[in-house]
Amino acid sequence: MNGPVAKGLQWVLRLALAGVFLFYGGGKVWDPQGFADAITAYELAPWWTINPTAILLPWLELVAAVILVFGPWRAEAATLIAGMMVMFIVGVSSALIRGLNINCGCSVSGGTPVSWNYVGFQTLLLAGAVILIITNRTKRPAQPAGTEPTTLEQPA
Amino acid sequence: MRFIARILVLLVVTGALGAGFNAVRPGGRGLVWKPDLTTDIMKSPEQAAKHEIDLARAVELYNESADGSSGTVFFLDARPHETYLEGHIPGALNAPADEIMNHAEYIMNNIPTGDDVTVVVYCGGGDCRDSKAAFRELKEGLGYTNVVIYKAGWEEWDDPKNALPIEEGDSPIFVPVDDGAFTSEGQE
Repeated sequence: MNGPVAKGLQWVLRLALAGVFLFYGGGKVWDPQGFADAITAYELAPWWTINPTAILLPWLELVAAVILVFGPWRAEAATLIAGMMVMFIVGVSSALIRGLNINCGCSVSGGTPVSWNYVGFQTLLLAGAVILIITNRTKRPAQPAGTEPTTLEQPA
Repeated sequence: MRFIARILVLLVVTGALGAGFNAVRPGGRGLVWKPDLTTDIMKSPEQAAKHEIDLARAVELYNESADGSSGTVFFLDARPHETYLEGHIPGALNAPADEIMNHAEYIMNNIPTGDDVTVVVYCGGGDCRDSKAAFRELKEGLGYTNVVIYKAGWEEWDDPKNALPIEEGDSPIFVPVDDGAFTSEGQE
């Protein structure tokens, strides 16, 4: 996974995920009220979680997106993005199953109406994040066979 | 462990950024929601009803605003600007619900804050949400204490059978209507 093609693919994934999250998060940062309304429309979150979520989640999207491109902790950022995607997929799927006719709330304008196509898009983003987690986890230097580190014997 | 610790660091940084930005941003929200004003008014008809007025009360308040005697009643049309231009309650200020914080200075220059000031917000009528959203922005974002929602809104006001005055075109500066003011007798 270290060849130029793999690295190129990683870059594409990083830029794509970061672009999506910068776009969505950037808009919501300026409109926490609109985002709070969108969260409320899902009828899932307890009321006391709505304001903190509306205020903080867009920043989490921005921080994760920026680090995914520039930062040294890309696996960590991808993990946060994957966690958010799981949450979003559960939310949208739940709304669809309950027959709620709402917008996804993914961008400042409220986004597109929820649909299974949108869940598919979210699943692709989740898959991208998982790939980045796997490929960006800090690798320990491989030990040559038969040279496993051993504990030093303590002098008697 | 380092992986989890880094994620926690990112979460803490995010929390600081979000809370800090919210604290310095004009119209920032409380981290703790006020359910009586926010979630529930958008979600619960019972909560919203506590702040709603009917046509008779809207007309009473309109007369107070229209005669300009008190200067304490103001109407705010929360519909999109294009719709407002086609017709609105005379003298009503226009601030689309999703742009209220962008027009905060304009609103506060034209509608004084104070416990004696009443702001009547309305939108298209029916189940429109803009007046509720505007209600919340005015209360929580701008600090108006007395805000009421004229629920039936423009749909009812514009109904020919009510024979209420309307105004078309722009009204960039709020000026209480001082001529041809609607009176209760005028309904008959």
